[in-house]
Amino acid sequence: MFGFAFFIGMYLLGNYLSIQFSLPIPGSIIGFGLVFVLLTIRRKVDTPLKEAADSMLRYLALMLVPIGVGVVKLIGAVPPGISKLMLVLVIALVLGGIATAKLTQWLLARYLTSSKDFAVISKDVVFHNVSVGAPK
Amino acid sequence: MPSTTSLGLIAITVVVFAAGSYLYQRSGKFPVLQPVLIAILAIVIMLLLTGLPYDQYYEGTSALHSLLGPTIVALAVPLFDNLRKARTVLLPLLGSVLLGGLAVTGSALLLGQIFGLDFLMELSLATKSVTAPIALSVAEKIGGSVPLTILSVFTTGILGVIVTPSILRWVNIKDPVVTGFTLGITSHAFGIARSVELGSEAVAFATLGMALMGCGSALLVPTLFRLI
Repeated sequence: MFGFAFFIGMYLLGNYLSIQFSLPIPGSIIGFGLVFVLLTIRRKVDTPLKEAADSMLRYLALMLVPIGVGVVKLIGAVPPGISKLMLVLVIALVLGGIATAKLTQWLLARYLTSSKDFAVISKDVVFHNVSVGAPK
Repeated sequence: MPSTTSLGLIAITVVVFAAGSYLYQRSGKFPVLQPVLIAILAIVIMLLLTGLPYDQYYEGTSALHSLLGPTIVALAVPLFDNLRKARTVLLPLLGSVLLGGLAVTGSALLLGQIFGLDFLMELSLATKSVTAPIALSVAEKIGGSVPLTILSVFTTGILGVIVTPSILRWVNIKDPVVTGFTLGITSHAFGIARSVELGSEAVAFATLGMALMGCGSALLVPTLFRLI
């Protein structure tokens, strides 16, 4: 339970800082940054934080439903130019995808050649997966 | 609104979400059938059929969405874990998120200008590749429209799942690490779901790509918009 209260507290603190100093960054991201800095200083994730984060993130997608339903407002009044928006989204997706993949490939290859450590990526990395999909 | 109505709306939301999860599992985790999409579609149909105003539904389900902010904060935990494990290749990854992210968002904004989209649509393009919770926080900061932001984010996610892997094969990129990372950066959580088919390594890099793209955009987009 402590972890849950901690994340709410850090969110409220982030919101306060964002409003008080009229920062351009959303309060939730400031709270996120503060927690990240604290974890980096501490160099580990304590069990209560880990447990709370896991259980909250499991329901992240559910929390998005009421906001996503907001698209219903577009049905009553379809904004003009929506087909152009869709077209832009398709073209931008293709361009952005190719650019990102080529850049990543090039940077990784360059870096790994210079550090002479090809095996690093495949051997060392076992990740923790957060998905805005179904609760597991 | 009476608390029983509110509880009823929450129960319906949870039920359609659970039904969505079931369909998603039954379809063999078909990436386009995200539970959140199915649930949104079901509730939209319900609102249209019953005539219940969206604002009342939104207010009634505040117990669900008011936890979104603290949950974004909790994302720091998996990001910290993942970054620590990927520290050996951190530098090139950060470089490609920064440059790739600029290409993704920049190309969208530029195309929006060329096609003469109105200002609110242009704003929704600024976070089209960012995971929905972060995109919504940014939209609130820059004065964007919530429905348009959701539309851009989800459309990009679904399209990315369908076209990105074939396009990358077409330009001769077959490395699951590169493909996963690109999926995460361009198509956020949908990209992660798609990368599941490419193996655990791809999922790991997709997760990292989504998180870094979200953080980078949350910091840079509102800052740049304020300067303009």
